[in-house]
Amino acid sequence: MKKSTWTLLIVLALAVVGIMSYRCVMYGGARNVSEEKPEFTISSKTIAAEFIADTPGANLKYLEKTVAVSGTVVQTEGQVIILEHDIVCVMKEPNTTIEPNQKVTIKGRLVGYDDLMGEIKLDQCTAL
Amino acid sequence: MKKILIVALLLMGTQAMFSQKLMTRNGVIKFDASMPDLVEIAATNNGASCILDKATGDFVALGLVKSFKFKSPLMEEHFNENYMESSKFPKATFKGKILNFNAAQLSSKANYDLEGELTIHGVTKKIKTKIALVEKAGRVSASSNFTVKCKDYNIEIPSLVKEKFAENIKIWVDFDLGEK
Repeated sequence: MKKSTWTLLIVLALAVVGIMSYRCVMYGGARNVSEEKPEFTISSKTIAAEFIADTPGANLKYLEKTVAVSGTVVQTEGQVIILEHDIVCVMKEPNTTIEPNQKVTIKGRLVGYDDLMGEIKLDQCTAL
Repeated sequence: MKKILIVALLLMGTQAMFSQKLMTRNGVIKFDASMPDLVEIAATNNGASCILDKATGDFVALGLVKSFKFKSPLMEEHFNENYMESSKFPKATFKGKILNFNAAQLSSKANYDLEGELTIHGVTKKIKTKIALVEKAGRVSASSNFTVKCKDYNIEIPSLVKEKFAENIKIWVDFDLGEK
């Protein structure tokens, strides 16, 4: 092969590697909460009481952590499951099996405390 | 006896009228800080909460910072850790009032002035914007957009990446409010 063809091939290969590593850095590395072990396993009543009593303290303890919360389901709405004591869980996949009054344990990432609605929010949730 | 009952019912009726709060927990907040033709810096929060008091026009909203989703997980990480410091300041809130609000006129879409205090990154600033309201089948749709500046809320952008950020960050909000 001619020298110019080789140069062209090398440039192309470098470009492909460059684009792939850029995509890897920008779009890779997402956290997979459903595969993480929960750092806290707690009842909906206890965690709600902790947030109400001391929001900044509970934020420090729980924010961004993977938690497993157990409690009775009071409402389901599309991808959202609400446990008693106002724990709002956004499921990873649309929920088809969990129904109100069922006792469940939901694992997810603790997003924060919504003091407007008095709700603790979790996302990327899966049922255990 | 009948009279008492009627009076009681009437009282209950007025009670209900005065505590007409409409709310949502699935509100949408979007922002875009991209510069034209450069990397897209935009995110959406689909779980914002909002309460509108139909009696007074009081309007409050809250978005958890960690609920904002970016296309790029890396960008999301930088947003939370370096810019918004979401572990220190987990929420963004608005507390204000819709001026000249009249619940009886909601059936046709209209723009109102909205005034209040916006708290982001632990900094509270007064803002003024327009909000469009319309009522359909007992639910009120409220939407607004406005711009904020990072420096107003003490959000520091390192000079190395400064040119990638728009100075005025566009924010859109959309709330579909109903009775609980």
